[in-house]
Amino acid sequence: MLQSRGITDLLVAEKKAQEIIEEARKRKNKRIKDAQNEAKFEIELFKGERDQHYKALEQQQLGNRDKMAQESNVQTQIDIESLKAKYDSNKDELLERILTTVCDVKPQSHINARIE
Amino acid sequence: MGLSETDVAKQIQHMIAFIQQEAAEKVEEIEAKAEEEFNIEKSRLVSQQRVKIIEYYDKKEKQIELQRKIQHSNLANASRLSILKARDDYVQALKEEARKQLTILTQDRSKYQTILANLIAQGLFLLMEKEVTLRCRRNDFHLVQQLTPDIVQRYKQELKQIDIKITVDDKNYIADDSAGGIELYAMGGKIKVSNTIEARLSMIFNQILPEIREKLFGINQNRKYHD
Repeated sequence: MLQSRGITDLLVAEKKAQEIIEEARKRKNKRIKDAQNEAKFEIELFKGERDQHYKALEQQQLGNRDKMAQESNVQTQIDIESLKAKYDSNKDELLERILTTVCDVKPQSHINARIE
Repeated sequence: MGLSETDVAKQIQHMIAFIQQEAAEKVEEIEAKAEEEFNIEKSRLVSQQRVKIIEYYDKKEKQIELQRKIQHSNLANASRLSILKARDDYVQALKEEARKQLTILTQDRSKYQTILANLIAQGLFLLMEKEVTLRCRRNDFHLVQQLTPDIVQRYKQELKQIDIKITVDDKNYIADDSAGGIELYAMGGKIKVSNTIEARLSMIFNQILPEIREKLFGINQNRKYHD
């Protein structure tokens, strides 16, 4: 009588032990599966960060675009303006030179055809 | 009879305790392993994707930089072209101004006379033909006729060939709004010498362009050879 009770107790304890271990195993598998989800979450976070950084850069570049164009135009205009100043100051001298040369016609007979 | 009841009960208790302890230890082991594998798997997945993401965004950020460089280059080009165009416009303006002033100048009859005579003489010396037709502006027709005999004289004095016949074209004329000068035709119009003021202006202007450019735009720092 006693023996059979003792054995039952042992069997119950054994069974319980198996159950606990089995549950632990189930938890383990779930934990490993969780790894995927958590990894995914972290990745999304990282991606979001990088994406933000990139978008900020993009915006900055967009803003600079117009500024660059404007600066270039302003500088070009200044350079073209300075041309005018030089033109006005040198114009008369050059015209004088051109006109003098054009009106200075020097007719020359061919050296081989001249009368000696 | 062997063991007493209490002894047996004690033994059973010990065995149960042992079983429970073993189970607990096993569970601990499993849980530790679970954490370990969780961490390994998670960091594996994370770093795998991280690499891809970094590569992707690095490439895109490089694109932005490239675009910026392209834009900068395009702007510099456009700027250079505008400036070059403006320079050319001034050069052309100078030529046009010269042409206008020449038109005015040739209205001074005494000056124009000398110039015209020289232009005709120069043309004749170049052609050295027996029969030459002169074409001038409608207004200059009489002047040319007037000047021709002296020029022919001079021509005959200088050259061994003395036979020359000049005709002044009375059917075709140079444009009235031109600055003047003369066109000479020989061999029935097959040979033409264009000694108009405008032709001279073009020729001379082109020849002294380097000088003009230097005066108007300064010495070219990029030029390596000057001969």
